Amino acid sequence: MTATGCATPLTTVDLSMYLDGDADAAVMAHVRHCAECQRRAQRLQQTQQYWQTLFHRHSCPSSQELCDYAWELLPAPARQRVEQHLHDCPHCTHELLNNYVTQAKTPPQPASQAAGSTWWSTGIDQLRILVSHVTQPPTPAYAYAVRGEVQAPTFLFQLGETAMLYATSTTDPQAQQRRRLEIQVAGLPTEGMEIQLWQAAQLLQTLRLDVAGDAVFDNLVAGHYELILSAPQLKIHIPQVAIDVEWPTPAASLFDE
Amino acid sequence: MLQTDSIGTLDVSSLADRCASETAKFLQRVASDTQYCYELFRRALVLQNQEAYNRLVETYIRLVRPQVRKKLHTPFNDQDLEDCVNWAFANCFRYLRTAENFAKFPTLQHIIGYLLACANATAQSHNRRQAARPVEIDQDLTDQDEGTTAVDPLARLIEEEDKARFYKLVRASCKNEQEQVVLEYYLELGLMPREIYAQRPDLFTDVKQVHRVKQILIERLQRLFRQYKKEDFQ
Repeated sequence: MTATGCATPLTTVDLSMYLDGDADAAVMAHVRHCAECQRRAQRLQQTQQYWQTLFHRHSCPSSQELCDYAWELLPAPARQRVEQHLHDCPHCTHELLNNYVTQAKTPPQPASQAAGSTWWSTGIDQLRILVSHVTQPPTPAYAYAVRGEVQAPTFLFQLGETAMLYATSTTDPQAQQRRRLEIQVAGLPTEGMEIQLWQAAQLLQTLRLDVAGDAVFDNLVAGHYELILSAPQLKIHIPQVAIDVEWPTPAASLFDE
Repeated sequence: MLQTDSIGTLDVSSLADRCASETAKFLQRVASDTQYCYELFRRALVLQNQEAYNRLVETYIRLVRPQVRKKLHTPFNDQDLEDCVNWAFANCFRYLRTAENFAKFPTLQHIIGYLLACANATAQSHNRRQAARPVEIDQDLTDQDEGTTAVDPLARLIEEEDKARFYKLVRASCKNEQEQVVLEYYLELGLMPREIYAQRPDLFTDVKQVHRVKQILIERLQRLFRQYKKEDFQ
């Protein structure tokens, strides 16, 4: 393959890797300095996005099926199909977790409830699901101050009886107009645990917690976000995290969720 | 409180009036009696009483419409909102209309909870459809080029039914499990190649191989689509 205007044109695979942040330093440097390859990369990106959009969630169960799954209304074969799909699909898992958020205020009854959090048991490989809301009116605590760091507002989420998640919002050191969200999980084995950041039903980023149970999301704007922590046989959904905006009023009943 | 027997003898109009007044009390956080509304649901759904059905929708649309609106994360107009609200009622009532299924919802709270869950689901369906609507392609970027494949502008004309048929064609064209996995994980679920490799190291030697398969698949997609549209127009 050749491209006019570039003496050493990159392959399409190189450009694809460049777009997804998987390319090596030489390819990155080449694209930075080559207008032709930048143009090709831009076009490739549009092409990829187009087809991804067209087939977006094409084979996913319908939203109504996921709703009926959460309400335990599906017949066994359909239930098994949904469970098989949920193994791989972050979007359907997210939708299902949102179903449980609504259900936390409605029957069928959850497995157990602790302050601000609700446990569910499902048929998916004995998966347990926890929905957790901020513990109290989000009065800033100062968990990080003990480390001698800036006293940024930290919000606490109770994860069942003994575990906690702290979410701290600070200025992103790489971009002063942007925000950083620091996560710290305590009281749970965090090895291999992943955390997803969602906004308006879009998966923004997936990170793996480090050995200390920490993860950092950068380059965020003010707004409402969701977090999903995943480990084998465990999903923890935090449906509301507010960064530099007002926290939603805690829900009182199913009528004012 | 009236006994169940006397509720059974009330006509639909009286029952509906009482349900509306009890619902108003509930919304004002005053103690309320749920058995009138529950009976109204039973008559509307299990006994297929049209007047009861109409009065139920009239009473509960005040709960369903705001719930749908709150869960719509993508652009919508008034018609979209009303369509979602209608589907929420239809999906909920479709399940509850047999005596056997209705019996699985022993209280009004169960029924309303499911109705609101159906409202969420219809809003999510709308969000999905919007997210699967391709953006306009910049015409300057659609010229043919040797280095990268360009999106055929005709692809913008694809309709839902066409999309399903075309998807089957693409699926059938996959030559091995690698291509099937890239089709599902990359094109449908939007996972990054490095995430696909992390999930299926048994199938790919490295991340670059995922990118290779991805490109092969996209180029085939383009060719298949041109052929598909050509056949369609002949």
